[in-house]
Amino acid sequence: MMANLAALQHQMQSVILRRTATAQHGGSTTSYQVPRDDLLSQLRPPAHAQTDAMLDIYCNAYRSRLAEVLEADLANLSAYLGKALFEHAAAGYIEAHPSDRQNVRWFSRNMPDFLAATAPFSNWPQMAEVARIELALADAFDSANAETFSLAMLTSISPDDWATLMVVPHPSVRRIDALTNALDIWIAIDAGTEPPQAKRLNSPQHLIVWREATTPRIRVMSIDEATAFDAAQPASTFADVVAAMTSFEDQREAAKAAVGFLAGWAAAGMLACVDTEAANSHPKQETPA
Amino acid sequence: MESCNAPPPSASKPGFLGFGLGLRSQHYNDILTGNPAVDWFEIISENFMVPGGQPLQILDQICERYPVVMHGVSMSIASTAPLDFEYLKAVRTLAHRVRPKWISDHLCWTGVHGINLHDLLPIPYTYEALDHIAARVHKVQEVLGRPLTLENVSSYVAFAQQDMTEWEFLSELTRRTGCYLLFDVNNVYVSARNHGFDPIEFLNGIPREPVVQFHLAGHEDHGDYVIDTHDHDICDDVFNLYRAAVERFGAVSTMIERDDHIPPLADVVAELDRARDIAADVLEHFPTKWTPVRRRKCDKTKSYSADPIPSDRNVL
Ligand SMILES: [Fe+2]
Repeated sequence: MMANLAALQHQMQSVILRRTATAQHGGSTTSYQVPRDDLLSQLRPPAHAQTDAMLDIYCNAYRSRLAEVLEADLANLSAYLGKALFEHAAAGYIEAHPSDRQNVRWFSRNMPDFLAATAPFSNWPQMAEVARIELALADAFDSANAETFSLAMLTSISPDDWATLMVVPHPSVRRIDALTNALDIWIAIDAGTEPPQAKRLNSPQHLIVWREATTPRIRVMSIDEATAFDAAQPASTFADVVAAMTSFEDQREAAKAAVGFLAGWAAAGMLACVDTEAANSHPKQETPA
Repeated sequence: MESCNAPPPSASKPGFLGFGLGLRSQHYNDILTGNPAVDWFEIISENFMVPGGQPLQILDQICERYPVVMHGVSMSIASTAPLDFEYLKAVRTLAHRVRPKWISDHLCWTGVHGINLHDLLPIPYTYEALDHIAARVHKVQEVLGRPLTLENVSSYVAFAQQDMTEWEFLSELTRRTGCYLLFDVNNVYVSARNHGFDPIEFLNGIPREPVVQFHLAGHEDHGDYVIDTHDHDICDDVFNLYRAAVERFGAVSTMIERDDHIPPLADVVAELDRARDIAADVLEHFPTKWTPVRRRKCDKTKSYSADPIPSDRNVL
């Protein structure tokens, strides 16, 4: 029934994407070239302009719209790379990663991996990490809401209950282990100042990104704090967190340090209250459409 | 051809909201701290289809003060790809929060094969397309539990195979499904220039009853063709066509879409006042249809914290 409409949409999309189209037919994948002329022959001549030029409006708008989204989502990366190199990255990314979500909000999400895997950008690993930092902050900004587990709540816990206390990261939290000084670069760019020379670090820098009230934040954690925090993801008891802190001489020392970390996390709004309803049912996530 | 179907249950045509604006993040502060002479706002649904954080907080504050309608850009009602029910449920979830007077999207497709081109792509005005789209509108209306409102888009190419005109297509679609129409005056102007039809013929070809909203916007004029960019002021030709639209459709909720080179709120409000004046001038001659526009008072006691503001990723 929809033979013509489906074929037309398939052709037009292929022309806009400017590439060989791939179609699924009952599990087998068929690739075939859709020549632009095939589509042009099915179009009615416009009032004054050339049909070809009118079709180009769609092809160009497709790329420029997505490039604008990348530019807006990764403004600091763009400032760091400069106009020409960022446009090069954006063009490559748009060809490699057509949007597969209804909401363009998530279009940029694969850019850090793209930069890390694609030459010439992969030669400068700080670029992917600057992108990762920038997108993590954007994610923290509009990630799911949850009641924060405050410092006051923490101090009201009786000593007997500490071991079984659930440590739940706030849904806005993102962890990044950076191998370069990407954070210093990002901070300089964000402040509109000259970024430092990029360099590989001797040991990874452990970054945590989260949302405090409505503001996205980022800071560095020590290896011990990061180990403890990672043990709490997605949700563990205080005892689990302490058990993961194997670099300490004994569990008493580890527990002492863990209490300090926990107080800091609670004060900063990095922890969420245990949602007993959600804990008892299936873990429910607000999935982006 | 399909038989005529009744509109979905509990459908009563939404009333006249007055003169509104597209809600843009650049204007949040002025809207929430000032008292702009705007009767209502239209949101791009996708900009608020996010898990949480400040965008939804701000949206809640706007909804407390103004009537809000939802305008989507990715329903892809005309696509031959399967309907995305997850997306539709997300629209419904947002509608529970916003309580919009209506929910609109575009008569277009945005992609096939799991790809979204994030553009409003044209359709052939054929019976095949009409049958396909009408069936999908029915399904969408079932999920949303209300009539869908569909907008005519600007187009740059038209298909050789065509069983009817765009206005005949829209009319028949609304007759079959009970959907409402968002009549974009600028889009009619743009498509008329590009394809060489008479915009007044389009206007007169659309039935009065289903039209619930007008869009006004600026475009980019290249002489031989026109591109719908929403980055310019509204030109005189589009205001003239708006006058003709008010003459035909009466008091219809009107709003301005501005998506790029966004001027200060006061400038867009001034442009909106021009639309008000045109409508008032026309409707003076039809006093029975005219409801005076009441400008809303907003509660100035509520404060707004100026934290980082997100950009509107979804525009069109
Ligand atoms: Fe529009």
